Amino acid sequence: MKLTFPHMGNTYIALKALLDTLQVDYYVPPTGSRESFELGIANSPEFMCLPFKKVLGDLIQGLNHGADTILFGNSRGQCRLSHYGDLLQNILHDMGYRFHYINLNFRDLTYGEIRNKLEPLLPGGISRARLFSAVSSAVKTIFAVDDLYSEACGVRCRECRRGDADLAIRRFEQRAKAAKGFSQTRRLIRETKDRLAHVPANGAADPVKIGIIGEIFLCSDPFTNLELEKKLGNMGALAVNTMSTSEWIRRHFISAILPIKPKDKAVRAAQNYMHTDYIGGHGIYTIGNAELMCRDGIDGIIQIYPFTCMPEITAKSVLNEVQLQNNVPIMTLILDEMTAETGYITRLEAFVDMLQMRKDRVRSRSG
Amino acid sequence: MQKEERMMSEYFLGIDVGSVSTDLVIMDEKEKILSKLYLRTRGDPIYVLTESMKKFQQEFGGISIAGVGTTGSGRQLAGVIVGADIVKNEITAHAAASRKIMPEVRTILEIGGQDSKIIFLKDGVVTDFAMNTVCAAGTGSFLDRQAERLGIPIERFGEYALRSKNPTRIAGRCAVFAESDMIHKQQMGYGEEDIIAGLCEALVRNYLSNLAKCKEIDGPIMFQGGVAANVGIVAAFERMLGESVIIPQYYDVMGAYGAALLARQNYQRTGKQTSFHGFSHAYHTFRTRSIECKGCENHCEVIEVRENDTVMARWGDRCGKWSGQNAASATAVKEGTAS
Repeated sequence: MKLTFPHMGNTYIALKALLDTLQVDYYVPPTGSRESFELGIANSPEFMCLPFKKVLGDLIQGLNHGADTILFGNSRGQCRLSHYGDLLQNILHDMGYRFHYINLNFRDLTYGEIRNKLEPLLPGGISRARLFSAVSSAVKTIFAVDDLYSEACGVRCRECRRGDADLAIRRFEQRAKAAKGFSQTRRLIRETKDRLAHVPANGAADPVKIGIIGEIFLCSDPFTNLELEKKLGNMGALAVNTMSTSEWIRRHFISAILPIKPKDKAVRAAQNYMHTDYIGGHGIYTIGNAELMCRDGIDGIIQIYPFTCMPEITAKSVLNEVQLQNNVPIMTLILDEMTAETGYITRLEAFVDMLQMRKDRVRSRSG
Repeated sequence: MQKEERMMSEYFLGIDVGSVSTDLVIMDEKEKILSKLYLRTRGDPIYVLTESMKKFQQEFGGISIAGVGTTGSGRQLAGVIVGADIVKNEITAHAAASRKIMPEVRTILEIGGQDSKIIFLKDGVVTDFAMNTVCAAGTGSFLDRQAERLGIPIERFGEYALRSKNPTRIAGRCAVFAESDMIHKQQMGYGEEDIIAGLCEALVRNYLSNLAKCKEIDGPIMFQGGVAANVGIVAAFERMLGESVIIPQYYDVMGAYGAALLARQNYQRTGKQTSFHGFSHAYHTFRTRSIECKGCENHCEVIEVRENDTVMARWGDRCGKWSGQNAASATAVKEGTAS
């Protein structure tokens, strides 16, 4: 048996360590691969969204490289009326692939769900305690990796020499591919953090702060969002990503296992604009996080989502109001596989320029 | 102006390499335009750029250029070829030019060849902007194509529209549907003028609903970009906005003017000597080629610009393996984007 799984940003780092620990044989599709992406595009219905095409491409690569089992996570009632998981399976079947399909239900992702779905993969069986500890380590690693990337954002926009932070992250990604198990991965994260902490920074830098909201796959996946965080950082702006994988884990896993479910802060904040707690996907969090960031003080917000993403389209229409109420500019970027990078960079540059000018004006008035 | 006087003062060069036109402006210390060029890019930005530099060389060969700014979708390429001090996006450049001409301007409508933008300002600072996203229906290229199809020179398109008493309603949401709708209306026997006027209205309607949705358009409103020459579009804007629209004298080279202004600002702020290669540099041979990098799975398409036989710059890679080597030229690019 050989397992494969699709990429979503940097989740593969933790997932890989988990599978190492459980001693499951696996194949990680190449990261940032144009070839897999094109395979996905060629085999998807045209009006499917970018994440779907990217996921399909990764799975095809996995199956082409000897995997016979697919691990996928599907959120019931979320994307395209929840049929993404089934649709992927059907397309791959029609292409002639035969495989075992594990579709984790992310609406109710408990230890029980994980054990039920993963147990058949573990021929020797596994004790509850071991599985519990391995999954907990994976969750911790996801948080640690996200933390590392957001630290890199903080360093990138202040570094004296452009490219230092990028270099540290690139090294990390190269070495993470070879790392085995949790302890190696964690050591690597620590080393990279240390390296980032030693990047010479311009202490006087006061970067504009830009919040990133929108569809979670695009927000957290640098390949599909054309390295949004990196681009903003290299333009001298501090990117604050509200939609990382750890956020998602927090929402779907940690809140599912908690006995008492507290009402989400973002959902509550969104109620000023939308009197419902669910508009599909993560749309409600897009609105809520925009509002929360405006309250906490942010220079500008970028909403990013794949072309045809319904929940985000709904959220977008509300963002106009959020912008008016708070006087914080919100720019929307819609991506599909045909997005021209030049136009994308132009918009980002213009946005950063604008925020910088606004900030300078406020400063010159108050100073 | 006297030749000696020209020799005495300092000048700034602004270049806007757009998809349809390449515009150049030479500006003096007092920020007045000395000369402008508006040329069709025709898919060969290097050729147009070097030819216009040669033209400037013949006319203004001896003047001292203190700063160069580039903008437009070809700004990076142009920046490397001429040696720019500042490389800026179109929004910032257009806003800089309009602000110079009219400090109290509140809204800028800009329609270019491939994209259209709307920029909102308050007290001279950009407060919001929008660019068209996935559609070319509201752009100059579309008008160009329709003018060509109808056999009317684009310069006279506007007059035709103004002659119409009863504009036909054209479906303007999508360029493809608009075209088939126009053909349909022609077959039905609608007059040419009415169809053209209808098209102008459709374009403006589309522009406003795409870019200005839910946004307050306050006056003074300035309209620039090549399409501002089209009186039919201007009339349609005025009718729909219920306000008069100001067309600046240099409406067609506002991007280049803005780039020159930003170059001057940059010069004043830093006092750095320009990296301009000189007009005569245009006689060198420039070549570009693309290489597919096989360094990782991403297979980036790397663009390489060569002057005679030396590599000037490379870009298009994600990891910085190639673009990291652009020592001198890269500084200008980065300063331009990271201010």
